[in-house]
Amino acid sequence: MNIQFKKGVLEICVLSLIYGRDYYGYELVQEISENINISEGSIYPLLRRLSKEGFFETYLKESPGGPPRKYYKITGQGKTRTENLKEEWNQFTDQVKILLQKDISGDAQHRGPDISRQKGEKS
Amino acid sequence: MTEKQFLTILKKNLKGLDEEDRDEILSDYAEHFSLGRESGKSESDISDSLGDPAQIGRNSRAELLVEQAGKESVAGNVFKAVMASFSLGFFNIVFILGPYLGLVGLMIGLWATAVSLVLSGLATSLFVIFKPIITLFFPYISDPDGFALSLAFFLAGIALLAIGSLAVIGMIKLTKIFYIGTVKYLQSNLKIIKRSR
Repeated sequence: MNIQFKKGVLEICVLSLIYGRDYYGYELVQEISENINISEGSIYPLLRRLSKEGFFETYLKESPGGPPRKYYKITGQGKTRTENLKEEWNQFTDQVKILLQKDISGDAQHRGPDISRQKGEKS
Repeated sequence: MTEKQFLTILKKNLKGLDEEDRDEILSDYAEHFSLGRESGKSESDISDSLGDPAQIGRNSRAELLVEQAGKESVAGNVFKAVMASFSLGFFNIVFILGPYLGLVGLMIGLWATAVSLVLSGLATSLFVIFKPIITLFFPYISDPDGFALSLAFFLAGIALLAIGSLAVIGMIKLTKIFYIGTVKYLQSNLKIIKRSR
């Protein structure tokens, strides 16, 4: 998938996961990198930024047989932010879907034959 | 790359940050390594999937310094933020940094003008006040004779002082705008770079 795409959705994914429950960094990184192919190191700066902006709180919790883990917890401000972003995202993807449907259902007569042939070759 | 190598390179690229910020970043990645090892991964696999530590360090550093410069716009902070952003490579050295340094030079020149106005105003009016004493020690200094002329010099000095003070006040405002403009520019650049990586 396109890299700009991934960067853009990363923030909303991180917010949405932590909205659901508290995560520690490693666990969150694994969860995301299983689904999205991204360099794992770029998630930590995002977590720090979102914490600084007041969307997350962090706390340390002991773990059995290892060093304490840093957990991220959503704040009230973070909840509002997540809800707004999700709504925007859903609206946006719905609109994109409508536009993509138009392409498939082939109102090619509006575009002229040359362009539609080029598009066909690419895909 | 081993954990130690990864963290060493990362640390090297976090120079100039507060110790607190730097330790926080380093401990995040150290925690990542120790949990990865626990789940049976090798250090080199973990560092491969994390990405380039130098790049991570430069990005985090620039982001933090620009943020700091935005909160507290003093010359040192703004300068650090400019240089950190420069290390990310989005400052084109000829077309962006050149004209920017030109602007910095212009600001310095304007400051010098304002300050010298104040100083010459002070010198002129003080000269009139202390003229009797000064001419005592340096009798060869040609001095304005007569009360009217002295008064004129004194008032001219005061006027220069006033104009200079106004210029200084103006420069303080202009400098603040300049800092804020710089930080805004850096922020917009950081946003672009975040989206495109």
